[in-house]
Amino acid sequence: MESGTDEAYLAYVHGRIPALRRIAYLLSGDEHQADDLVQETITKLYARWPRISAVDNVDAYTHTMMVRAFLDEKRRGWWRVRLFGSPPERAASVAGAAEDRAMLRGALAKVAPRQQAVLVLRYLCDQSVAEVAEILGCSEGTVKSQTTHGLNALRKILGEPRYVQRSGGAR
Amino acid sequence: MTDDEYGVLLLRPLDVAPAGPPQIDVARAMREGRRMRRRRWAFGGGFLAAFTAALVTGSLLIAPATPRKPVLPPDPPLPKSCALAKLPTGKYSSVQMGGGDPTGRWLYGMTNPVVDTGPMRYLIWHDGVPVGDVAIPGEQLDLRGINSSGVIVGQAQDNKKKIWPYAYRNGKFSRLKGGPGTAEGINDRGVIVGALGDLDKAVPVRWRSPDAEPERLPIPAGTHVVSTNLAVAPDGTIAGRVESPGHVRVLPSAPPYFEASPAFLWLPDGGVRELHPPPPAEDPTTPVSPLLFRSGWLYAQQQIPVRSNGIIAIARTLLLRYDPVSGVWQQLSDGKSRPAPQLPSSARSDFRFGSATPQIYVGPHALRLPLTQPIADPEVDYATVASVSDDVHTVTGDLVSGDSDPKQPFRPVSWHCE
Repeated sequence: MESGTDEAYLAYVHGRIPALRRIAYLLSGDEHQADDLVQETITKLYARWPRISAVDNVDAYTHTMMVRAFLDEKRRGWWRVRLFGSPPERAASVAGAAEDRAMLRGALAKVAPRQQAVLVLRYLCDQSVAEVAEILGCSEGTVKSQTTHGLNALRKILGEPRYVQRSGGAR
Repeated sequence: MTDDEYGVLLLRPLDVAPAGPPQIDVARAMREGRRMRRRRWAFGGGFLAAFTAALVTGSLLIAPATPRKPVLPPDPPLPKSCALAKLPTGKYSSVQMGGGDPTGRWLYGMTNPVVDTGPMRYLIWHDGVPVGDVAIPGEQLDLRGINSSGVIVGQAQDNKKKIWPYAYRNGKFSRLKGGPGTAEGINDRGVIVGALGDLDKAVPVRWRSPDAEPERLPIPAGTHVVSTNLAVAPDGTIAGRVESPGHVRVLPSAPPYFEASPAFLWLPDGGVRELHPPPPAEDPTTPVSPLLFRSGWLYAQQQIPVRSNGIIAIARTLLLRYDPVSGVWQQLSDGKSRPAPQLPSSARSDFRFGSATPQIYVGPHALRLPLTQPIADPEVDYATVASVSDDVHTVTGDLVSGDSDPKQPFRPVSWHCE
């Protein structure tokens, strides 16, 4: 199968959608937004496919497009536009793990978007510092400093000891 | 604990997969991607150079894909034709059609609507046959809504000029609880919306049934509700608009005087949401006035004021509709063409007036209603639409001579549309 063809694109995309959707969901915390991010990413991917398909690491390139789409939408305030006139968020009565997730997701949303991406890619997508640097198009040093800043921001918001103990980890 | 250990431990609870099925359309991605390819190639070699650079840096962003289109409430099919029929009126020669329920099976109308032409009563029809001839409670009665069980709500003025909310069921009227006020609408579950208190202090209320105690709906401090803009949806969602004191309007159609007058949705779960329609270019502060819910949409109007030599008048009235689920607004009419199609509503809005060429809105489309002889004389008759069933198979209204002779009777009619 020739790498730049529609068949090759379909084979690649169908094989990657679950993983792309997972990353998009971890980044955005919302299923609909995750699907929109994936849709946008695979659209751009198709537009560039005849050239991109031949590069060494298509996955890294696709992840780059997705993360940058996420950051760009954050910058444009697009999510806020989508929420305009929508039903207000309801204070759901959640408990246990779900409560932890809601609290964490809320805290993560308060961290700078680029730091959010670094934290998600490193600690939820198990990407190395070098891989995250490649995805974000920055130096490894920048990834490390963004990681530190992001974690410090979360510590401030969450209050480190209580949350970590609750999640079952020792400090 | 290192930063990395802390990060893993902290964020691990977020490592869950999305639960719902994916809403990703690969075919659409290829269609839109193909368009983007053509657009990009049109830029020529300079763009390709930038694109190559982007491959290295990963820094190129192209126009984002269109967000997923919301699924809007479906409109009923536009009927192909309508046949005019006269409604029986018993011993009364003049009956003004008042309204009908969402199924089109229950209708009501007022006898002798012109003052001093005979007793004012209400006729009630079921499946086109008069089944009720009811004396009004008090000196005057204004009925505002009816549901598919034949329960009607409205308000009556007593001999001390007090106005009380009423419901009609099982052949008789009864006052709703809570004191003086108005009842403006009822849904098929029997939930009634209205307002209690004097006009300039009115608070919106919900009665969960005609026998229930009123439940006050929250409004901003220092405001009162405009009762004529209250509407209730089948699921119990209520729409309305509030004003500040000192701006009680003498005429219902008077303009809003550029003041802030927000509209709200009161949701069945107790939540409240402010409505933000697209601001009209002429006057972004023009408020939106809810009118009615039909087929999943909230219909509303915006009256664009104009000042001329110190006089404020209505330049035009925009008709909008709003989908409470997706938050989408649509403009159905820019108010520039007259006569405009009429709304599927009774006793609501400026969109109810007589016309020699009556039309109704079926979603965004207009449906012309024929005035055919011998029931109507298209040369002299004007028709006013009072109700449209949800399936648009039953439209009701009345005919009256266009020569403005008050002695000419109101003749209730229906159009059967297929």
